[in-house]
Amino acid sequence: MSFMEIKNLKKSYENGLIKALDGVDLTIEKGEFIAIIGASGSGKSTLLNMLGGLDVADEGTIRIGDYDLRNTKKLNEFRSKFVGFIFQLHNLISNISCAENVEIPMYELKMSNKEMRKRSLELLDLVNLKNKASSDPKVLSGGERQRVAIARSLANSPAIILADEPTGSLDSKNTENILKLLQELQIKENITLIIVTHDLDVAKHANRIIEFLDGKIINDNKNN
Amino acid sequence: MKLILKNPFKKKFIAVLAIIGIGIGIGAMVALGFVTDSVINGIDNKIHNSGIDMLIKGEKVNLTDPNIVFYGPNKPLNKSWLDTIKNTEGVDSVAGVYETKFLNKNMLVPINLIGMENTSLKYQGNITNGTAFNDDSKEGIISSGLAKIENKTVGDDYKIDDDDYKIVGIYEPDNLMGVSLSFITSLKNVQDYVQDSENLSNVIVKLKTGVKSEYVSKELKNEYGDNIDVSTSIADNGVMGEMISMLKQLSLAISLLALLIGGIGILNTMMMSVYERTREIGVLKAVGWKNKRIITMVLGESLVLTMVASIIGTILGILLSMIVLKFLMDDVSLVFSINTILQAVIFAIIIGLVGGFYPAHKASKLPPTEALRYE
Repeated sequence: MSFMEIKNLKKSYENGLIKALDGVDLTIEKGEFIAIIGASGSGKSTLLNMLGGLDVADEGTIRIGDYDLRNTKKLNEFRSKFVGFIFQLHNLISNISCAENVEIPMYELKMSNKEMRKRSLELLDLVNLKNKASSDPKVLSGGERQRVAIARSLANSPAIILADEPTGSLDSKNTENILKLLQELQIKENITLIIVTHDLDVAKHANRIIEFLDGKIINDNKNN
Repeated sequence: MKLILKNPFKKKFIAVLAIIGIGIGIGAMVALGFVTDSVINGIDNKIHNSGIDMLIKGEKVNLTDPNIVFYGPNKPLNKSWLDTIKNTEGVDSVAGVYETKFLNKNMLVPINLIGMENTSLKYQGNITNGTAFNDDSKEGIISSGLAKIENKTVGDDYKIDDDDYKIVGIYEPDNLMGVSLSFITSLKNVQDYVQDSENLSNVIVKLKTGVKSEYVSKELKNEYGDNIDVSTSIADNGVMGEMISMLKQLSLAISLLALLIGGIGILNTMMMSVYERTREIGVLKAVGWKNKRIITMVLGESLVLTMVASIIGTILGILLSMIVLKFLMDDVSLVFSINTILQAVIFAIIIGLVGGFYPAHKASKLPPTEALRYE
C-alpha cells in the first residue's frame, strides 16, 4: 500500500461549470520530492488544498497514511499532526517574533511553553535564523521570511510538506537557497515534499514532476 | 496568549478609540457610583454624629392608598411602640416625634411642623440663635430657611392656623429627617394641633455603644415585620431615599448607555480586526487550529481591550469623583466602593464578550482556502 493514494478525485466550482480536478488518480510514496506544474487554472493548487485537508473533494478518495480525508471531522487533527504548509507569501504574523511564529502550529500539540520555545529555536537554527528569533518578521528580507515559514512548516514534525509557489516572490539567488534548504530538510527528515510551481527551473529540483492540464494529469515523470 | 495580548494593538488608533469608548463608560459608572456612595456616607455620618442611629416609622403605605395624602408614605405608630422599641436588645434610648404639615398664606408649599421633647432637639440640628423651647409652653424653634423666607427672628411670634407660638430659637436642620422649611415645638403641642395624642410619626433610636444598627434593624424586622419601617441610612428614608434610589438608577442608566456605545465600538474594532486578518486566520486554520481556539483568541482579544479600558476607566472615574467632590461638595469625603468597581468591570467583561462573540464566530467559520486567497 502506498503512502498516499488518490483515486478518481473530482472537484468543480460554480455549479460544475469549472472542473478544477477531473478524475485524478495518483500514488505517492513516503519521502518523495514532487513538483506539480501546469498553467494557471490547471488544478494544481486545488489538488494541493485537497492533499492538505483544506478543501474536500466532490468525488473520489484521498488516503494519506491512516487518514481518509473524506472524514472531515479528522481534518483539523490531520493538518495539525501530519502536514506542514509553505505559502507563496510566507504568511507570517507581524507584531510577534519569528520564534512565536514558528510556535503557532505547536499550540494544538499540547506542548508546554518551554518545549515550544526549545523546538522553535532548534528549527530557526536549522534554517540559519536563530539570531533572528526575537525579531519581528517585518524587519526580515523576503528570503529570510520564507526561511522562517519553512521553519514553521516543520514545527509539527510533519510527514508531508505542501508548498504552493514557495519561491514565487523571491529573486533567483534566494530561490536557489530556499530550494536547496527544502531539499536538504526533505532528505534529512524523510519528508514527502510536494511543491506546486509554474517555474520549470524550480520543478527540476524535484525527483518527480507531475504536469496538470484542465484538471487532469497529462505527464508524470521521474526526474533523475 | 501572546497573540491575544498583541493582536488588539496592531491597529493602535482603532484600539485606542475602542478603549476610550469603553473607558468613558466605565469611568462614568465608577464616578457616578463613588459620588452617590460618598454623598450617602457623608449624610449618614452627619446623622450618626448627631446621635441618631436609626429612625423607625409605621408600616409603609401602599402608594395607591388615598390616605397617603394625610400621613405620607408611612402610617403613624402608636405611642406604646416607644416602650416596645426601647426594650429591644442593643437600644440605649428612644425619642418620639410627631411630624405633620401646615399651610401658611405666605408660602406656596406646606411647611413641616415637628413635635418632639426639647431633650431630643440635638437630633434635629444645631440651634444657631436663641435657645430650646419649653415643653409646657407655646414656644418653638424655626429653621433658618423658613426664618429667612418669613423674615422672622428670635422673640417674634409665629402663627400656625389659630395658634400663636413664640420663636425662641433658630436652628440649622442637619439630620435624617432634616427638611429646610420647618418649625419645631413640643410633642404635646403638635399632638394637640393634630388632635391625636395616641400616635407618633416616627421614633428616633440611639443604640448602645458598639451595637451595630444593622443588627438591631434585623432584630426589629424579625420581631415586628412590616408593622414598622426601619431606616439606618438616609438611603432608606422617605423622599431623600427615593431621590437617592432614583439617582442610583439614573447613574446606572447613563453608565449602561455609555457602555453600550463602547460595546458597539468593540464590536466594530473586532470586526475590522477579523476582516483585516482574514489571511492570518486562514494560516491558523491551515496549521490545524480548531475553531474553539480561534474563537478563544478573538474573544480574548476583545476582553484585553475591555480590561485595559476598565483599568483606565476606573482610574478616570476615581479622579473624576475626586474632582467633583473637591470642587462641588468639599465637606464630603470620597468613599471607595470595591462593589462599584467590580460592577463596572463585570459590565465591561460582558460587553467585551458580547462585542467579541460575533467577530469570533465569523472568524471561526472562515473556510481556510478562501481565507488564504484573501488579498
